Amino acid sequence: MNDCKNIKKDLVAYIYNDIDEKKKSLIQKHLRSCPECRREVEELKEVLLCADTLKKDIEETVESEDWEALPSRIANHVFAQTKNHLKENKFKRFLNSIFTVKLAPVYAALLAGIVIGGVVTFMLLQSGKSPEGTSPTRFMVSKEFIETMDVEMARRETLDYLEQSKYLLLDFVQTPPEKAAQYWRSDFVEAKTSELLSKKKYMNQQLDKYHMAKAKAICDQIEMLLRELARMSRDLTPAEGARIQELIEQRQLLLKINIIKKEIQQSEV
Amino acid sequence: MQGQTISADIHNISVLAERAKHGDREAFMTITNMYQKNIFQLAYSFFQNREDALDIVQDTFLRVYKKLHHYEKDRSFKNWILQIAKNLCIDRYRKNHKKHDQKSIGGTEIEEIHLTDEKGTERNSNTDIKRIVSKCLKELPERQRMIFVMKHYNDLKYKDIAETLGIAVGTVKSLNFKAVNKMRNLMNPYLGRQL
Repeated sequence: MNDCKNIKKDLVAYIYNDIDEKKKSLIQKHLRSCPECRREVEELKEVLLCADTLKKDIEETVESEDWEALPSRIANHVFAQTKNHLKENKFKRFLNSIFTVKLAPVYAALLAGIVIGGVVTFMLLQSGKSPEGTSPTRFMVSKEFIETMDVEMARRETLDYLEQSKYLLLDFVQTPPEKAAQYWRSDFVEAKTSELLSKKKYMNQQLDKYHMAKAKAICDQIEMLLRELARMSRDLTPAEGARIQELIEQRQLLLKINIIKKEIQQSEV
Repeated sequence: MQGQTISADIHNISVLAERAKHGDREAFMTITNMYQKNIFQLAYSFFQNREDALDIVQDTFLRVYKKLHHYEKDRSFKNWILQIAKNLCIDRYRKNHKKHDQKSIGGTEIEEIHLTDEKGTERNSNTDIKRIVSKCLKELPERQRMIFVMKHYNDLKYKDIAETLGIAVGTVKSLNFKAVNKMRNLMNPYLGRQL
């Protein structure tokens, strides 16, 4: 019985005759005396005989293939595939050469530098201070600051306009009426009048924008007066000159100019 | 093809492998020509399907080409190439065929053939036996099935099967015995009528 158990696992190898001679003789000897194992061998042979029925199909299918053409077809496929594979490998090798372990400390130091630099810049921007020992090359100013500056510039322009107009009119008022026409025809007064008139054009926009209504009203009056005087200057009679001087005094134009100037100066930034 | 490729008898396979490794198309085609039938026969007997077998042949040579630098010269080239083919067969089997096989193959189908015999239709026909064998083969666990087809349909020696699978010769014998024995159990109801 023990013999049966020992030889059983070798019976298929025995049928295939793929077994060493020593074992083969042992099995043959055992089979002569053991009908049960002989029956087992017969049954196994029967199974293998049935399995043989597929052999013919397999052989026929193998022979039906075009084996002469296949190597070329396979080679085409393989070389096309590996070409792409080589390209990928080249790229991988390039990446590997960049991200090699040897260069890891360099990348770590670079990364640390970027992080530290970023943090320091952030902190400096937060505190609004530039690094010690270095002078800032750029100023960052707020929109409000720029607006305040514009208002201040407009005020100063207006003050300057009023000041110059005041002196021009003051000189006119103090000029004898018979010399009024001569005064307005002089080169200096003509140039000054022209300058003030063109300045007023530019100022109109600012006066409206910053709601300087009072200043605008007086400036408009001055503008009208100067424009009229410039137009009439060549034909201005002494009587007309005296009349205009009288009007300036009656309307207290110079006083109004002074008051407006003062108001503007008081509200100076 | 004969003119293009070089006879394997003249050239040592190691030389061909070395040349193919460096992109020699002719050498590669010679290797393909030498082993394509072996691989096809193994894959076809394993899957019983021509398309699967042809895919395995192509994939095997693609892998062979990529892995040529791993080939150890003291090893049998045929066994090395068959090992690659066997691995691809197992991968494919696990991927595509396992579920299908489990669905379509089972004792009931074998029983149906047996019942047909009882009704007195054409008995013991060769086609019926083929169908039974084919189904029984597919019932075997993948390793037993591979060993059985290597031995029975590809006439490989146990020693070569052991090298190809990387296991001991005794294990191969034992697994093949289990395979044949399992087939016998599956076929017994049918065989009983024939004996």
